Amino acid sequence: MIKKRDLVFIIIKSFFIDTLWNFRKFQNVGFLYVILPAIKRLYPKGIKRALAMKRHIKYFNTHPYMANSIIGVVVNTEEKKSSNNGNSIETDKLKSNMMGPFAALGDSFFSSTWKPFLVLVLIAFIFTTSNISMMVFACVFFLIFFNIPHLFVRIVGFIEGYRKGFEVIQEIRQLDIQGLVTKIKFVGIIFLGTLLAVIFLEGKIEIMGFKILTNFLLIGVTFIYAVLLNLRISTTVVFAMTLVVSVVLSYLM
Amino acid sequence: MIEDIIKVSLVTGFLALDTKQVGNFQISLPVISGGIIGWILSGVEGAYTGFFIGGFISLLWLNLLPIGTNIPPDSCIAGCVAVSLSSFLIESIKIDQKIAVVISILIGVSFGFISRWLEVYIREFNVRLSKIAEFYSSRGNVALINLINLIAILIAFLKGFIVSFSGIYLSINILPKIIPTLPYQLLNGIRNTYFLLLPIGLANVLYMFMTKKFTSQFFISFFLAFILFFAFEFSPYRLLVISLVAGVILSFIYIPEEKKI
Repeated sequence: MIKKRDLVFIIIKSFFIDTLWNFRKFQNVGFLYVILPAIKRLYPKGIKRALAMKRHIKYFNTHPYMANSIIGVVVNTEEKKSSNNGNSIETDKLKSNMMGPFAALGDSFFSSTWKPFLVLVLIAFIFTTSNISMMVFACVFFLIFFNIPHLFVRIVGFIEGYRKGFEVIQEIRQLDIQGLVTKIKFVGIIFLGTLLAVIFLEGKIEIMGFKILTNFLLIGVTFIYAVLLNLRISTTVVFAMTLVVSVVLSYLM
Repeated sequence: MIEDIIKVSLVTGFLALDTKQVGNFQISLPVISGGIIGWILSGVEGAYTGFFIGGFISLLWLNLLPIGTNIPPDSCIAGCVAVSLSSFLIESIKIDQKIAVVISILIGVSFGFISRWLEVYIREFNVRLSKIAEFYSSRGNVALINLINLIAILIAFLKGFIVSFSGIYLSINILPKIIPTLPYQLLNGIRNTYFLLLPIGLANVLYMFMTKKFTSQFFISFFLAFILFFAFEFSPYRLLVISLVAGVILSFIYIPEEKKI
């Protein structure tokens, strides 16, 4: 039987799942590295351990935060298998069925929505203050707000996956992640509207004494940049173009 | 100076591990890592510059996601190199801070791309390590799997350290000789770019968040904030907090619940 200590080790090791990310089998070594405490406990020595290790070093690729739920289910299945209570479900199939949808979920929530939204709020508060303590406070706030759902998904995802096995998939399916993503994007767009209206007004940018005019100009430039990005021009190219245009204008004026 | 460069590069190496290999706690986000590097080099004044440069680089590549085999430019390395460089440039050749910031970002961004290029090679090298791990795992060798993971962390750390060290070291040895020889118009053009950094970053977020569905809400919030700022003299800070709270409340009222993903 797997002990609590093993489960804690697995959670700690899960922070290293991407360490040996490679182009052939992606997180295969990372996955094995994470579940090693369970394998060591369930298969103390010999051919069974080797077979279990071989079983779990196959192709694996998902969002690192969401991987823990899959790891939990796999550990649960392995435990049943080792005590001969297991059914015929192959862990390979189990992993390949879960990693795609879980990766999509993690990418859509954490990478495309939650992180950009929090970065926007952080930048807004940093750029509208000149107080260094407030800036540091904003950074700490960002780290706390980002890592609460991150750690929740990692820790609770693993525990629930281990406790409930396959049932956890159905439970995650019932969560309204897409609705949450839409809500965050809605809050983000309202916040961005306010930010764009005030960020340049608060700044000390002044060209030939016309502060307000410059502010409107900067808002206009932001919209032009957004149009350029909509035309699939990358931000790096936009930055380089800005530099070139500024230098050319400086020579002409 | 060399001690400072080594110190900063070591910190950058550790911070860069958070990007992919260890944890993903977002300490490697340029606005945070930039602030840390700036504070290490120049105290509070450096932290200000670090937050600004890091903030811009955070926004610049925010839309590039590490999905599948896609590797975005290394924003942590870019931010740390840019912040360190700007700090050294301001201290060593006493140029205008705005010019130093733009030149540093330019160099930092280039090293962000170099770091990505190296990351591709590291991931190809990881294929070899993976094959070794596969061989030994079929023999039940646990210790070797742990060792291989440790090697992978060490390689990732060395990449961060070497890229940032070479970026800062080369730049502070070359740039002070080049910048004073540059014509005034060129420097003036670089200086003017400084004012357009924030619009580029915000445009990127606008591009990411704006959908047809939310266009009206965006403009209502924009004009409302304008009116409140001018007519009622609300401070920007207050307006931002109000919009955040209002946004959360409105999202629960207007966005319907969806039952399934």
